[in-house]
Amino acid sequence: MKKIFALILAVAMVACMFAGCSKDNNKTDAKEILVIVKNSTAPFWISVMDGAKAAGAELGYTVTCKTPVDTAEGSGNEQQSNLCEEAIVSGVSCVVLAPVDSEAIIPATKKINEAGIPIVNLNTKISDDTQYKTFCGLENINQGYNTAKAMFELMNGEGKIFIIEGSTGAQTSIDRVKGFEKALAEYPNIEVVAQQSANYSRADALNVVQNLLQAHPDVNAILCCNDEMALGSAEAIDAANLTGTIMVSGQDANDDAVAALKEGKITVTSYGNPYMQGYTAVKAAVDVLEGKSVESFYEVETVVVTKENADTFKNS
Amino acid sequence: MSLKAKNRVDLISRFLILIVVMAIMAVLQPGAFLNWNNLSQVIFQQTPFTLLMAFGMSLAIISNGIDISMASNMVLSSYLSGTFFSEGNYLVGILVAVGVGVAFGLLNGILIAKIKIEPFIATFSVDFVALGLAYVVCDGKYIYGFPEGFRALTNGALIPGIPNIALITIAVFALLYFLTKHTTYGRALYALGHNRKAAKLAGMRADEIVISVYVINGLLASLTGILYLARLNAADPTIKGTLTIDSLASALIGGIAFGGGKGSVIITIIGALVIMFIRNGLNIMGVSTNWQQAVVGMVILFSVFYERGLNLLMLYVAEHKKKRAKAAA
Repeated sequence: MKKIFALILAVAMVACMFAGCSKDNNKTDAKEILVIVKNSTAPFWISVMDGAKAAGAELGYTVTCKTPVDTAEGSGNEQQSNLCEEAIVSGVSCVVLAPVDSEAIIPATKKINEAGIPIVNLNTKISDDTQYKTFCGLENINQGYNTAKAMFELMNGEGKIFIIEGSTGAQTSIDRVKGFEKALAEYPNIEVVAQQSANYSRADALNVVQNLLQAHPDVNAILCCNDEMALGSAEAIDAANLTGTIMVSGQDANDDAVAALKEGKITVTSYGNPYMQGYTAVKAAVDVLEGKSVESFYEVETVVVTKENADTFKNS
Repeated sequence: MSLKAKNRVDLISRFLILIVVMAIMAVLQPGAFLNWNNLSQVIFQQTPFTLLMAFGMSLAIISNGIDISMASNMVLSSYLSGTFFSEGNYLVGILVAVGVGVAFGLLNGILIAKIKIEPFIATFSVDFVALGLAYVVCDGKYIYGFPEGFRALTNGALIPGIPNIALITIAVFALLYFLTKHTTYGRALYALGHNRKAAKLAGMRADEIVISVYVINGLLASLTGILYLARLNAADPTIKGTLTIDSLASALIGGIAFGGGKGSVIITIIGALVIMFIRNGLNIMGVSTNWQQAVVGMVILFSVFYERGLNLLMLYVAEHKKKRAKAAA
């Protein structure tokens, strides 16, 4: 009985292997664009992939999207590097890459360039600008700056804030914090009383903010590097019965955050237009492949979202 | 020294670690750390999640196993049941959550007890399967917005001052304590953790008990998942976070030794509190989150050394007593 069971398992496993292979063998022609993004679970990246696929379908190119399995941004670099190496082996024509880590991805991008495959950089800049043909995305520093500025205006230019960072080492978090700091320089009466990481996670932010509120119950606003952490902060404020007294800002404007914005739990967020980011990147990749001239930067505009434009920002 | 006395020394010595951690925090941050508001928040709101997981981890370790899969099991069961809870369909939600939790627990148990796969490898693999399935089900769509009545599960307080989630955790603890310390089932659990073969020869249904441990863990995972939905107001795949590591660390700091047959769910509580107070204290002090990882690691190491030192000391005392008795005779 046990032997039969083992036999069935073995056959099933081999069958799975073939099923996996057949996908790779089906590659039709050389016009394949590989899009590597940061994860496949966040709504933001799903929109990016949707945009990329839409552009591919429109322009007649096969667009394949791959992501690290591990959703923690800090640990994704290793897996992205592996995906880059696989891209060389499977012989794609162009790689669109949104690196988890701008610096650590460079050894992998060098290999791609050596193989003669062009790279279009998406969303997060690779530190070495000789590695890619063009960059498509928003300027995370500007996004952070605009959100912080909108928040500081609402605070009338004075008060105490927390900064809640994303995962340590994540470039988006580093850049957004840089943007916050740029805005802080213009508002000297705003004081940062605490700055901590909550790993881009709602659950982590809830605990971190709850703890911080113990030390600084008089804080006026909390600036978070993404919406998930903003929502966690909002729950922490709710649990401390301080709703309405502390303002919260996020980034990304995902559906959950917009709903919270309408309820007044979150004050400001910012729409990064992920769909357009993916779309623009694949379009630029096609231009590169067809030998057209490309600019060095295609900026996708971000929109600051507050209660007023919560219903209309996606149309702007 | 009798076993009872040894257990008492274990408990008191672990309690000492907790007191030391709290004393350090209290000296460094007297105002913000040492007030009832902060303490009750950590004990009653933040610790229960880690603790419920740590109870499961402890049971697995006592049975000479380990359960890496609980946190992923929790993510999957909360995802699959989330939609029902958000629609106010509580009964279906509970059935789905418990169904998923128990199914994966049963899978773990059968892999370990019947197919004889090493507990680490079995639960490690199941961890991947459960988390992977959760990502498939989730597909980037977060479930959010739960009814107030449901959220009262964690936020409400039937007894003023003690949130419901704390009451639930206390009830679970009482149940597990009774089960492990005052039933034949519990005695068999310790016996088979110590020596599975001997337990089997003595006529205990060792395999069934091992399977039941992992089923209990599945139940704990689904319960924690439901509580997380209520606390976060969302089903979120990142809740797995550091729960596996934290629950393992709670058991280790609590002094539950690998090798099986030793430990108790009481000292797990102390282990969990130590970790949560370290995280809380460092947050309040404004120390970078990255340091928390290092500090928790150091406390685990310290705790293992402490355990060794304590054992050596007790051996020495026992020997000394024997010598004195001999000399007297």
